[in-house]
Order: sequence, then C-alpha cells, then structure tokens
Amino acid sequence: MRNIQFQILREKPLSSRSGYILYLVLSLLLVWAIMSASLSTYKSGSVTLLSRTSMQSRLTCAATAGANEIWAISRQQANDKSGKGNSLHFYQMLNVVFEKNENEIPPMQTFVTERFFDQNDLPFANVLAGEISGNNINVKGHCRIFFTKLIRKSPQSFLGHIEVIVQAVSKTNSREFIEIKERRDFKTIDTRDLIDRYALFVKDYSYDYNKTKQKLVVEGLEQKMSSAFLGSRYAPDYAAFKNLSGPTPIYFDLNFKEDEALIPALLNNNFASIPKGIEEIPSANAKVKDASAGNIFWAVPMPLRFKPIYDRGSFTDSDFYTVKALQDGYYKTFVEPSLKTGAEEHSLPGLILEDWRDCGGNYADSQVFKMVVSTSVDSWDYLYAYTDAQSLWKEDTWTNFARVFQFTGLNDYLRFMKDYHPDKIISGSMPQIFGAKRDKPLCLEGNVFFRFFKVAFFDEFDTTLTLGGESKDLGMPAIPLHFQNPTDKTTNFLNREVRIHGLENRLMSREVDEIPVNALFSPGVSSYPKGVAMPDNVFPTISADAISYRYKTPQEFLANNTILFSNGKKGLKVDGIVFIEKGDLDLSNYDSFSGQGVIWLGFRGNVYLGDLAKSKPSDILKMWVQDGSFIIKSPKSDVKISASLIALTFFSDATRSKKALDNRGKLVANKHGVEIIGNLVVDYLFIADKNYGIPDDKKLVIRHDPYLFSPVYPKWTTFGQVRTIYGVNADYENRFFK
Amino acid sequence: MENSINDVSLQELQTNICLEDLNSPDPLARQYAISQLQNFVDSEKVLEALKARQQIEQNPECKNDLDEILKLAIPARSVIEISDNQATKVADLVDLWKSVETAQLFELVKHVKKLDQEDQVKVFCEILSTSTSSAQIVPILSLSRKVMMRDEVIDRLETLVKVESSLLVVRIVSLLTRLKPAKLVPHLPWLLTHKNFQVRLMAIKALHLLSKSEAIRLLNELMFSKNSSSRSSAFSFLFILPFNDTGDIVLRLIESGDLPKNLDQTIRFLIYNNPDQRFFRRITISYLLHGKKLAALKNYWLLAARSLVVSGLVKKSEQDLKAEVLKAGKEFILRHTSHKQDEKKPEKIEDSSVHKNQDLLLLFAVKEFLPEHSKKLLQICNSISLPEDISAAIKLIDNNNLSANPFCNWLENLLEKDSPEIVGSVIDTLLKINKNRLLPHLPILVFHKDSSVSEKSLKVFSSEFSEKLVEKIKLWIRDNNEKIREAAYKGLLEIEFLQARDLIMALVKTTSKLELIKYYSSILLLNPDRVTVYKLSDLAWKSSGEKRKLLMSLADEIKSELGEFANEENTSTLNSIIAESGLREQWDEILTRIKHISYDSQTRNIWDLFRSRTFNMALAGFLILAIFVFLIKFKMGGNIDKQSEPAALEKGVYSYDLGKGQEGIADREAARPWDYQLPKLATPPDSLYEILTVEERRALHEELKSEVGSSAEKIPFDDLKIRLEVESLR
Repeated sequence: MRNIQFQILREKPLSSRSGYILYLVLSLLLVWAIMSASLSTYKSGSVTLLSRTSMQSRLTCAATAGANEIWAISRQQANDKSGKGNSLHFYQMLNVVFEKNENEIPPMQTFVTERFFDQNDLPFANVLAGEISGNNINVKGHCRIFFTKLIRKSPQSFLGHIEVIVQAVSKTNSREFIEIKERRDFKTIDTRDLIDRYALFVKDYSYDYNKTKQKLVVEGLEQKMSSAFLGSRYAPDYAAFKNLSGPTPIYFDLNFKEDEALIPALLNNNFASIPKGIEEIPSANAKVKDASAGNIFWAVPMPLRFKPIYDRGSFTDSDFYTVKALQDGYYKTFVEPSLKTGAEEHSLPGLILEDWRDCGGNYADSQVFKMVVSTSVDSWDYLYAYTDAQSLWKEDTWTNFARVFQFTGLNDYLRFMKDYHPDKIISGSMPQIFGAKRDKPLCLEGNVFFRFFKVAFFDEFDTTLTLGGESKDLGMPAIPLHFQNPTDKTTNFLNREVRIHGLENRLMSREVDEIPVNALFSPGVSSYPKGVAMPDNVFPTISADAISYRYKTPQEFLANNTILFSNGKKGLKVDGIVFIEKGDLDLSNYDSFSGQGVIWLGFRGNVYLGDLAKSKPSDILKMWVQDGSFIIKSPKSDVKISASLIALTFFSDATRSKKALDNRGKLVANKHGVEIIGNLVVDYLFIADKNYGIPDDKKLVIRHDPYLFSPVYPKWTTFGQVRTIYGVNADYENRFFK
Repeated sequence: MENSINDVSLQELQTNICLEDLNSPDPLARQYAISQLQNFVDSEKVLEALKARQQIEQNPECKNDLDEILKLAIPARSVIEISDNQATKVADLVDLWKSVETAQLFELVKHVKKLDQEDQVKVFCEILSTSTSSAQIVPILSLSRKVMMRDEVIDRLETLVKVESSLLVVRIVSLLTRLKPAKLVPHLPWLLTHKNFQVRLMAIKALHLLSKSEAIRLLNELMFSKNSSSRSSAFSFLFILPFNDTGDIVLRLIESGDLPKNLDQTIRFLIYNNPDQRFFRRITISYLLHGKKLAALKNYWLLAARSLVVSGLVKKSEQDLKAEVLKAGKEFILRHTSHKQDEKKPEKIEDSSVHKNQDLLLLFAVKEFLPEHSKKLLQICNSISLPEDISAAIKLIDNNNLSANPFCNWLENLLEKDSPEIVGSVIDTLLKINKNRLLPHLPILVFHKDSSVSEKSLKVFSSEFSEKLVEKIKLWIRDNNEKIREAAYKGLLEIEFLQARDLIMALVKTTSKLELIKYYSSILLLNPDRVTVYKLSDLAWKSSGEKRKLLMSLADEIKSELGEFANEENTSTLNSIIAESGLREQWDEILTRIKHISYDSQTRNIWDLFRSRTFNMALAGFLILAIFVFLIKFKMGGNIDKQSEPAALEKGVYSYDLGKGQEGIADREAARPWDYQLPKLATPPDSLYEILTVEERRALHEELKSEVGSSAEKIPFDDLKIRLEVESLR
C-alpha cells in the first residue's frame, strides 16, 4: 500500500517531462524534414563546386607555403660559402656562372641553373599541407636561375631572375592541382674595387703631412703590401711649383730620431743609395765633432781631400778669391799682425804690408792672398753630413747645432724658401706611413720625396807658409759652404756641378729632396696609381645596374635597415649596393653593422660617424659620399670605425667650384682621435685644424683591413624585394612545369 | 718564603688570582674571574669587588654574568613567610619560586629540601621546565645528591647543557661530571669547543675522567697557547686536575721563566702541598740542566725537597735527600748524553797581568782612558803577536769598553786564531762591547775544535740570540755530518724544551732515518712530558714498520719516566662510566672527534682542513650550486647541438682588432668559421683596375640625377658649413 502511494507520487512529474522530450524530438524531425526537402531540391553540381573550391583554396595555401619555403632557402643560402661545390646549394648555383666559358653566359646567351625540390626538400610546406588536408596534399617545387645580363665585365657581375614553380597536388586525385609561379630579380655583384687596395688615397695636395703634434699613422697589411696614393691636385701656386712637368712633389720631413728604423732602408734606397758613413763628422776640431754627435744621422766616414775634387771640376783659384771667410782669415792672420808690429823693410810683416798696400784692398790682386788660396786648395779637407729639419730649426729659431759656425751653410735657406716654397719653412716630421713601428712597408704612390739636409764645410787646417824665405805658421779657419738660390742661374764654385761623393755633386750645403719615399721598399717613384693615368677620375666603379636598393632619403634607409639589439644598441644591416639619393646620414648612434655592401650617398649629404664595429670580421661596409664629407660625431675623445670611408666628390653643377675646399670630400675629425679599420679615400686630407682637426697629441690611424683587401665573399648576391611575376594555374593539362 | 705559603689557604690563593683578573683589560680573563668568584661570594671582599666591577663593566657578557651572580649574592631584604600548608605542597612551592625575589630562593630551597624525595624531584622538574633565567635555576641545583641522582633529574640537567648562559652551563657540566659523567660524553666534543673558555675548561675536567691523555693534551695546549688571556686563565686550572698529571705542565711553566707573581705563588702552593718523589726527581734533572740559566729553579727545587721531608714521605734529612737525588740526576743525564759529551780539558788558568809589553803595562796603569790612549792601544794591537800580549790587550779593551770599529775588527780577526783562551776572551769581550758583531761568527765558532770554545759560543748563542740559534738548529738537525748533528744536539739542550720538542717532532714526523730519531730521543727522555708521549703515540699510529715500533718504545720509555705504565689510561673509571649507559660504540667515535679538537691554531694545517667534514660538505655544496647555476645559465642541451658555436671557438685565430669593446655585438647566430678566418690574401686581378671613363661617369651621374630630379645638386637648407683654417690662410 505504501509502495503504491510512493509510485503515484513520482509519476506525476514524470508524465509532464515526457511531453517536453516528445516536443523536442518532433521539432528536430521537422527541421530534418525541411532540410532534406531543400537539399533534395538543391542542384548536385553546386555541391561538387563547393567542395572543389575549398580544396583549391587549400591547395593554393600549400603551394604558397612551398614557394615561400624555397625563397627562404634561397635567401639563406645565397651568401653562404659552405655551399661551395654542392650543385644543389644556392651559393653554388649563383656562383657557378663565374666558372663558365664566356660563350655560355651573357651577353652571348642566357645562362640557367636549376634545382628540383621534392617532398623532402620542402618539409615545412608539406607538414602544413598535410595538416590542412588530412594528409592528402603533396607539395613539390622547382627553381630556375636565369643569368640574363652582364652588368660588369671585369670583374664579372650579373643580373638575372629566379623563377620558382611550386605544385600542390592531391594524393587521391592528381587532377586536383594548383601550381604557383613566382619570379624575382637578383644581382650577383663583385664587391671588390680598385680602391680596396689602398690604405689611404688622397687626391689633393695636403699641407698636413709633416705635422709634429697630430700624426697620421698608416698601418699597412702584413702579408701583402698595401698601397697608398698621395695626389697633389689643386696644389698652391708656389714659385717652386712653376713649370713642373709631372705632378707637384710632396715632401716628407725625415725625422731621423723618430724614424730611426727607416734609416738603413733610406741609406740603401732603390733610387740612389748613400755610401757607408759614420755618425759624427770627422772634423779636425774636436768641438765640431762633438757638436755634430746626435744631430746628424750620416757623415762622410773620413775627410775628403779637396784637391782631387778641384782637379776634377773646372775650378780655378780665382773662384775662391771672393770667399768672404777666406778673405777674413787672411786679413786676421797676416795683415792685422803686420799692421801692429809695424813695417820694417825686408822683414816678413813689411813684405805683407807692402803687398796689402799694392792691392789696395782688392784681394784678387794680393799676391800673398793668392798664395794663401793656393795653399788652402792644396790643404783643404771637404766635410759634409746629413741632418734633418728638426735638428736645424724649431719654429723660427735655429738650434744650437745649426749655430755652430761650420754648420751655418744653410743660413739663407729659410729666407729663400719663405717665398719660394712656404711649406718648406716648417720644420716637421713625416707621417708614420709605414706603421707606428715603421715595420709595414707599403707601396707609396704619388710624387712623394724625403726632405733632409746636407751641411758642408771646408775644415780648418794648420800649415806653414814660406814667404820671402821666412816660414810663417798659417792657421786657416773652417769655411761653411753656403746654400745657393736654385733659381739663380749664375754658377760659382758652390753650385758648380762636379762629382764629389755619394749623392753629392755640388760643394754647397743644401736640402736633399730627390729621394722618393717609395724607393725605400719599392723600385722608386710612381707618380700615379698603378694603371691609372688620371687619379682625378678614380671613383668606386659602380654602375646603376649594380644597385640593389634605392632610397630617397637616409631616414628611409635607416628605417628599413636598423637592427635593435636587446641592450638598446643599434646595428646597421647592409646587403649589396644601397643608393641613397641625398641628405645627411647620421650613423653616430649605431654601434655596429653586419653584412656586406656599399652605401652610396649619391648627391649632397654628409655622413656622421661615431664608433662603428663589424659584427664579424668578414663583414664589409664601404661608404661613398659623392658630394659631402665624413664628420665624426661622438661624445668620446677617440673613435674607432671599421669601414671603408670614401669621400670623392663628383658633381655636375657648373656654378660650384670644384676647387673650393667646401666642395671637396674630407674626413672631418671634429676634435677626435680617429682610428679607421678599413681604408680612407678622400679628396682633401687635413689633420690639423683648430676647430675641425685632430687635437694635439692625437692621431689619425688607418689600419688597412685585410678582409677588405681580400674579401671572404668577393661575390655578393642580393634578391629583389618585389615579385616580378606571379601566376596561379589550376589546369593540370597545361601546367607550367611538367 | 715557605712560611708565607703555609699561611695562605687554597681559597685565598684562588680568590687572589681571580680578584686580580677581575680588573684585567681582557674581557675573557674577567669573565673567567667572575665565574670563579661566584663560588666565593660569601666573602665580603669578593662581593665588594664584584659590585665595584658591576658599576664599570662595559662588556655585555661580563655584565650579564655579574648581574646574575650579584642577584643571588645580595642578601634578601625580607624573609619569606611560608605557612606550613604551603611548605608541603609542591604546586605552592613552585608558585612561590616564581614569585619571590631571587635572593630569597636559597631560603626557599631549604623548604624544598624538607619535602620527601619524590616531591623534591617534582619541584625540581617543574622549576626547570618553567624557569628561564639562570638565577632561578642555580639555587635548586643544591638539592641533595640522592635527589639529583634520580634519572628524571639527570635527564633535565642534560637538557640544560645547551642553554645560553655560560655560567649555568659551567655549573651543569661540573654537576654532571660529579653525578653522572656518562651523560656528558655525547656532549663533550662541542663542549670542548664551546665559545666560552670556562665551559671548555670544565669539559676538560670531565674529559679527564675518561681520557687522561686527551685532557692533559688540551690543557697543555691551552696553557701554552699564543693567546695570553686564555693562558693566564688556564693557570688556575692546575687546581682542578690532580698534581700527578699536571706536574710536567708545572715544570714546563717553571722552565719558561719569568712567571707573574700570582702564578709563582700558585706553583709554590702546588709544589709544597703535593709532595711527590717523581716530581722531585724531574725537577732535579731540570735544575741540573737549566739551573744556571733560571735562578728561580733552585727555589722550587728546594721547596719540593722540603715538602717531601715535611710530609714524611722520605725518611731522610733534607740534605741527604738533595745530595742523593742530585747524584742520581747527574748520572741519569750522563747516561743519556755521555756519548756526545767530550772530555773536558782542564782549563789553563792564565794570568793576563803577566805580560812583557811595557806599553801595555803603561796603559793598564792609566786611570782615565782617553781617546789618545785608545789610539795608542790600537797601534799596539796591530803590532803585538805574543799570546800574552794579545790577552792583555783584549783585557784592556774589555775593561775600558772600547767599542770603536777598529777594535771590533781587530777582535774579529782574533776569532780565527786557534788558541782557545784568546778566542774565549774575545767572545766575552765582543759580547760585552758589541754583541751584534759577534753574531755572524757564532755559527762557525760553535764548531770550534776546542770544546770549551764551542760550548761557550753555543751558550752565548742560545742566551743572546736564541731565535737565530733555533733557525740554525733547524738546518743542522738533519745534517749528515756527525759534527754538525752534535752541535744541533747540544743546541737543543740549550734552548727551551718546548721549542726543542717542536723541532724534534718535526724531524720525527718527516724523517725515515731511525738512527736520527734515536740520536735525539734522549732529549725527550731528559724532559719527560705527557704531551711528548701523546704526540709520539699519535705519530706512531700514523707511521708503520720499524719507525712505529721505535716511536712506541720511546713513548713507553718516557711514560715510565713519568711513573706511568703503558696503557695505564684510566681504564677502570672509563669502563665503569661507559658501561653504565651502553656508550661503548659511541665512545670510540667521540674520542676520535675529540682527538681532532685542538686549541693550538698552529698545528692545524691545510691537510686537516681538507679532511674536515665541514669543509668537504661546503665543497660539495658549492659544486652542486655551481653545476646548478651552470645548467640554468647555459641550458646545456640547447647549446650542444648548435653548430654556430665555432664563432666563439675561432676567436683566438682572428688577430685583427675589431675595435674596443665590440665583441659583445658579434653576430654569433649567422657567423661561420670562415667569417673569422682571414682568407689567404691575394692581390686582386688587374681587371679590377679598370675604372669608368669620365664620359661613363658623367652619363651615370646624369642618369641618376634625372631620377632624383632637379633638386639633387641644390645646397640643402641646413647644410653644415665647415670653414677650415687653411681657407682663411690662403
């Protein structure tokens, strides 16, 4: 009884719920009925079309993935040396053209390399295809590289395009198929250039080579000889430079103390070697000998007898009658004592006085004087030594050494040079062109000569003279042999040509300026860069075809090529030749760069630089400012730049003077010490300048980069950023690639 | 002197030492004194001194101790009143204990003692579990031994060993030592190294019950440690251990010379109150060996003889006893040194006044020695050659203290003579006038062929330049030449025994020549010492074969000299204590740990450090940490299979400077080895020198210009004008 009651109690809600379910079932049945009715009326063709469209979009997706994968592989491998020799590697495919016979390649004919990509070669695309199709799509591809144009004959550079074809095929039905064809341009250029060979290339005449406080240091390569060219375009119109046949000469002031390491090479130079000498002048006067020690770097090893020289040259005794020192010596030793002792007939003083009265002060008529001259010619020792400007004068003061009577032969040199060649009145010391330790020989092109000095004199001597049967002791003083004005064509015994000894063919003291600096380690002077007749025309050899990227402004370039490091520093990305039209390119807040290429600032604009390092040694950055300068901008006092800096101006605006300093390419140190690892190529080189130069005791150091000289990647390939062709094909019968 | 010792009681002696130390500038010494004085607070003098100190004490630890002691010592201001009811209830007593003044606690203890044992134990446990300050705990410790021996009580006491208050720990340790030393055994290693000096001393006392040799060694190390304060505190510890065992320490102290007055008193007290025949014999030998140097030795020796006679241990007269023991001592020394001693030549007595040189005679007559006299003497010196004259001249120099250089030179030249008389007097004279001039000659004179000269110079060497002698002995001691070794031996006898022992031990430790050990062993025998025995046994354990046997036998010999017998280690006490609580296995381990404890910082070498557990644990910990850091930092797995690593690897090959501080931005992801290796430099092909002609260049320029537009060559608005000096000059 109780159980029944309970059942009744439960059945009540149950009955109401079963009605609800029934309602649901019925409505679902109704929907189903409507759907089947509508579907049955829908055209079966449309359904097929729907499924085919969805398959096609999946196929397109897979094919695009395949194409992208091939592009990724090609970009990754294009400049990767590890692929050398592997014919399926893009590096080899892009570089094999350089090994071909010139009949097989442009301009004779288009050269093609190709590569197939099967399923395994495109793993990512195939995984994607499998995922979106229930593992029902295969992706395969094919890539052809067409070398269509030779843009530089030598060294060869090519332009061409890469064509990528990718097929995505359904595994179940090969007619379900999509094929994509894409094409992009590429350039394989040779990044090397004539100026890579130079550590320093200067076109214009520079006033600063001999600066003593700011030094130019060039560190050439160790394994190979670097070159440097110092041109002298736009030289000042000094009298010395009138009627020159070749380029204006540039003089390096030898500083034998600082450049001690160069002395052996200098004495043994390839132009005219200097015979063995000693380091003190072998004068009979010990004081003179001592005074010379440390102030000369070469002296005749022993006194040269003058008589043989006299005999060789067309000298006469009368040449010496006018020599003031000789006259004074005679007067002091003979006439003066005789005047004092008074004249007694037939005595020696009487004889001298008589002779003195007879000649009437004209030495040439004095018999006794003539006798003295003739004795001197027989007794004279000719002495000479080489010294440098720093040992002779500093600023505008002669040194103590130069004031020693015997060494005063150059007294008139500065006075003369003031008008003749004003740069020469500066007592300087040469740049460290062979490295700070003078141990890196380089080939120095240009008309560059050493300047140092010869000081010469007749040494003093004692002899006995027999006059009127009486012997007279004669102590003749030394006679300095004076520098003669080279423009004065009159000859005297001082500048008369006669073979003397070593380099010397004149008796006078003089500047020695005929030894080319290049003769130290190379055959001799070579006035122009090797293979170049007009240094003015030297510019980086880049054609418009070789440009990979073009930017309107530097800002645009930086926006596209800046790498931001996690530490907040900025790096620059370079890839091939980048042409920026104009404007100032400020790289002063970039710490490093990576890649290989040239930034070519084509029209007006300067490049601002601070420290700039390579990311790895093989990276090469060349910057060519075609109408502007490099300006250092850094909070540090010294900057270090790893790049090849080229500031060679070329413009066609006839209203602007090419000669104006403002229009010449320069490196403006802006009061910084500068170290360049790479090379420096400028129109005008200046080091010292109160406002823009290098501060006192700082240096401009140029370390020639061996990676620039011999790049790890002499050929560099860049890919175009845009597709030049894009096609999609779903027609299996007429596919691009069968 | 002796009487004064009889007058002083032991207590007075101890308090005197402590009161003196109470005002020591060294906090350790003060702390010790305070802890000792807590036993004598009944004395008015002591209490006053403690109060006075409390006023000025700066050191927090000492201040704490003083506060606690004075709390207990200051008599209660009121007498507590306890009803009988209260007095019989455990709970009430405990409550009272917590509430009353500290000083009244002693009164309260009396009430506790009246309870039956069970209740006393309950009160004790209750108080110990609730009280924190040591002042509250100390009074209850005076309950009867019966109560204290109860297991619950002992267990409670054991827990107290680790409390903060050092004063309390000292008490607990001393209590446990008396009651149940076995409970202390596991704590000994750390108690022995407790930061508080007093605790360490108490621990040594407990250790003495278990291992006499270790305790004596540690006490010795404390006594002779470099730290003067611990040394002075350790002196009074001589009271704690039986004189039998500390006798040799006392002897070493005496031999070290120059004892402070209180210590001198202590030693006198100890000698006088501990008549001991063996000690007397040893002090006799010491007296014979060092008596000439240390005058005080004779006093101690006499005191020891007196004590023997007074105590009635010897039935001879004091005179006989001394003569007899002296004789025996001499024989003993002779027995151990006879083979090295030369026969002494009878010294020739010369009379320097008998000389023939009249000039010298005249100079002797001079009363006031003036510069001209010295000049004259110098002239004479350079001319004389007869030995008598020379001696006379030396005497003149000596008498007049002529320390001018020429005289020194002359004297130094004389040192090369053979005549022992002359050389001897030169040594004396030089020592007097300029001893630094003598120093360079001493190492040579020690080997003089005349024994009187060599002995004399050795004596001078050891007394005047003992440090230099020790250095020399270090070299000589291993020499192959017998003569040199002999000098070393004699030198070892001359210098302080502790130094000599260190030298010999260093030799024994490193040498394998048994003859050498035997040769020097008699020195150890002449100065028998427990520490020597300890060190020898220790070395014996570490060596093997014949050397081990020799060292063992030597140790036994010294032991028998000390009056102990081999393995006489207090085994019976030890056994009973250990057996008591089944500690046998633990004991060996604890003993080795104790053996590693040392207060002598010098003996701890780098090797011990490497073997120490803490060091190894720290090392292991550090290694684990390093590996952990390495794993986190470098994610090993991630980097190993990456092939881009060569960039870092090739860094060394690349020698061209990339610029200062520029490595940090090196492109390690993309770089390959050849990017870092300089390719073989090749001169570029001649074709490279082909440059664009002027026309080509112009055409290119025009082409680009047409792309850029007409503005290409116009001067930009904000163009920087750089005007160089050159322009204005020319």
